[in-house]
Amino acid sequence: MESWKSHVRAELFHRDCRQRDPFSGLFDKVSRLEEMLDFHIKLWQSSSKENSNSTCPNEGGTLYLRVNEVEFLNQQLKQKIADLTSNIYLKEAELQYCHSQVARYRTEAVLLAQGASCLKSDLEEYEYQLECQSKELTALRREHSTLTEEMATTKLQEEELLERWLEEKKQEAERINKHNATQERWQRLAGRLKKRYRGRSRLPPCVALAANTNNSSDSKPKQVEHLASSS
Amino acid sequence: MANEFPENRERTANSRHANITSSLDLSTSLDHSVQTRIFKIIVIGDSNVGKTCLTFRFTGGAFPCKTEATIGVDFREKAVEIEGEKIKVQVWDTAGQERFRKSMVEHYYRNVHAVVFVYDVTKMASFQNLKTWIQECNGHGVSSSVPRVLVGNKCDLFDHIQVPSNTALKFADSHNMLLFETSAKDPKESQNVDSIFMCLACRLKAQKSLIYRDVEREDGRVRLTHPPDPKSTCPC
Ligand SMILES: Nc1nc2c(ncn2[C@@H]2O[C@H](COP(=O)(O)OP(=O)(O)OP(=O)(O)O)[C@@H](O)[C@H]2O)c(=O)[nH]1
Ligand SMILES: [Mg+2]
Repeated sequence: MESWKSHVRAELFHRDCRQRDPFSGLFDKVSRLEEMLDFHIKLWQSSSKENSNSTCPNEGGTLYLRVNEVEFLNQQLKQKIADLTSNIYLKEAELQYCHSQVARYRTEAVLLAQGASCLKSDLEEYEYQLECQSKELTALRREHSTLTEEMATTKLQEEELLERWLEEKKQEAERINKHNATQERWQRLAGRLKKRYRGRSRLPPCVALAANTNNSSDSKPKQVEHLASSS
Repeated sequence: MANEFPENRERTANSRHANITSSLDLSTSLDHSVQTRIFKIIVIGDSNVGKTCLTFRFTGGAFPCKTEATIGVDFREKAVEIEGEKIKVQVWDTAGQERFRKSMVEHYYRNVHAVVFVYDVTKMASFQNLKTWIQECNGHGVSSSVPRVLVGNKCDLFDHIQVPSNTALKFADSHNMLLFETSAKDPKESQNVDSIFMCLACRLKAQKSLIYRDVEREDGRVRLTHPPDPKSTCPC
């Protein structure tokens, strides 16, 4: 084969390989040729039935074939035009729909942009608030910790004071108990003394005097001491 | 008082050769020197039953508008006169909360003359805890001859009463105690509150008179000069 032919072949092959739908050009061509062949065969058969006597195609026959062929192509083109026109309408409608969609999306986008800017400003505000609150929180935490510390010391102080108070109360109770006991002892002693003197005062004066003179000089204090110790 | 004793002794020693008139002088001075007797009464019971209010009602004649929990003990006194004798009723308003009383308990019970157990008629638990209080009292060597009374306080809250009178009465009987149901708050009950302490004071006076009579017997001079008659002015 000549080199330029093989070159063209190879390039064509490459092109077909590169295409999205490989070899579609070739397939199209083949199917169109097959269609045309079918048409030619049908036409040939019908015309051969009519002119069964003539064996080879003459000039008129070829012309007839050509006319029919053009007719056929014409039909095909008409169909194609009709298809394309309807396709154009469809596409136009689609285009209109797309336009309306675009308009809708545009307004939507505008709205969303507005919302976004609102949200952004909100976010900024919230961020500011958050910052303020976090600062406040730190301050409160600090205050809380100092208050807790203070509370602990106050509690300790309270406990100490309570201890002291209880201790004082204890001492006061002890004092009062002691005072009560002394008082009771003294009363018992005084009662006895009183009764002793009352008894003595009932004796006739001379007996009383004798009783007094019979006693040793410090007998009464002794009695008193004795009574005091016995009570 | 501590100074009075040597003075008396001195005077006694100086009157060795004196006649009966001086003896009588001494007796009178002794009469003067004998101070008012003191009856120590302790008030025991759960916290918040109204011990402070009851003692305040008796000694101060009013219901305190605000009270705090008693810490340790509060001392209150009231001078009363029974059968012509002036007596000082020394009321020990004790703390009901364990942490405010733990170190003081033995001082409460030392030489106590009478015990008042208080419960709150609107709080069954305070009545049920009486057993523990009685146990504590007995555990501190308080003799059975020491008079005890049971007081159900807050009777003015009659819609909230939880301790029925007959239950309290049975309990008081079983422990040989008198029962008083009263209210420190209700001014109409004021006399009833007074009578709790007066009743105890009368019983104590009667008991003590007996003790004095016993002392006289010990001395070998059995003279029932003043037989006790607690009923004459006793409110109970
Ligand atoms: N309604 C009513 N309330 C009372 C009465 N007596 C006391 N209270 C109230 O009961 C509470 C406790 O009274 P307190 O007398 O302080 O109790 P307490 O037994 O001394 O308590 P502690 O000192 O903790 O042992 C107070 O709020 C009083 O106002 C009463 O008769 N009637
Ligand atoms: Mg109290």
